[in-house]
Amino acid sequence: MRDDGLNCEALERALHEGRKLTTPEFAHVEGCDECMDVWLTLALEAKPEVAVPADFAARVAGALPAHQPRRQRARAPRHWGLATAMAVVTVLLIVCFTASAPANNWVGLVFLSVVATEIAGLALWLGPGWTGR
Amino acid sequence: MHGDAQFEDVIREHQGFVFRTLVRLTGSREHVEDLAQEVFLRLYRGLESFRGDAKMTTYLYRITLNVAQDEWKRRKKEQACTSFDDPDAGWEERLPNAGGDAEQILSGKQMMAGLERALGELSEVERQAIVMFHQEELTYEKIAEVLSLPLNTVRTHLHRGRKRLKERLQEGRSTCATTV
Repeated sequence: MRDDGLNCEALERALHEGRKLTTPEFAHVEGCDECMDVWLTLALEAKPEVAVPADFAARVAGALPAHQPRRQRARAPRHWGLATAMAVVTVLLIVCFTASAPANNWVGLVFLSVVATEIAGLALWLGPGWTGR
Repeated sequence: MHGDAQFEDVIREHQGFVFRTLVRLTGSREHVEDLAQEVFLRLYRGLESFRGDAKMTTYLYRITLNVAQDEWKRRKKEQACTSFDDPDAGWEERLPNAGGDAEQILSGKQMMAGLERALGELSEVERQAIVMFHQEELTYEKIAEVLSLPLNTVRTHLHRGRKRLKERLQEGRSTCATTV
């Protein structure tokens, strides 16, 4: 509120209505906290009138690079992983068929065979030779 | 998102936001078309990784802010401050009270120029938050997502930014050595 004879409420209404302000009114707004708040909000909310060229979207779309197929993920060959997995499988199978009890009973044989098969499957799936994905 | 025709629709849908935000954040209309084109090209390059529209708009907002920021920095090096006599700045069209007699126009112009200068003196993040909140009417949540900031930090930036704008406008501190 400033003591310049101007009414803040009327001025704020004028701002909201978009009425042209006089120079003394502008001076009031600059010095009045409440009116400045209103003016600032309206000024910030005023969207810049930017003329977008009518053919802008078409031009940009026309300038796009040729569509590239999704890049294959660069994956390092997993020779070491495959070799390690195969080694584990081999060791398990040797243990399975040559070791003495308790592994050398039918429960142990089935268990070790299942584990060995799973590891071999994983090795093949994750290995460099797999192209199914 | 498949096909250039669909991307053209995306451009049409968002070009208004991109142009307006670039103009406001850079304080100039110079090269705005080139900058907008750069925004959409960057968006296109990143499209493969999007599944939902919400994520795409967030990404678009981020790109727009980044492009505006780069341009702002480039211009800041070229000149210390933009003059409101600069025909590219286009303040007149943005005045809430455009029109009227010469004195009224000048007063309005000066206030708007002061606001533009004051905006330019804010920190990058305060300026971005203010433009997204007031001009583009984004929610606090969306602004937080775009700026990758906590919600309360966004609120603080908005509050502080507004306060500083007001102070600068009222104290007339937003003067520029190269203008007026």
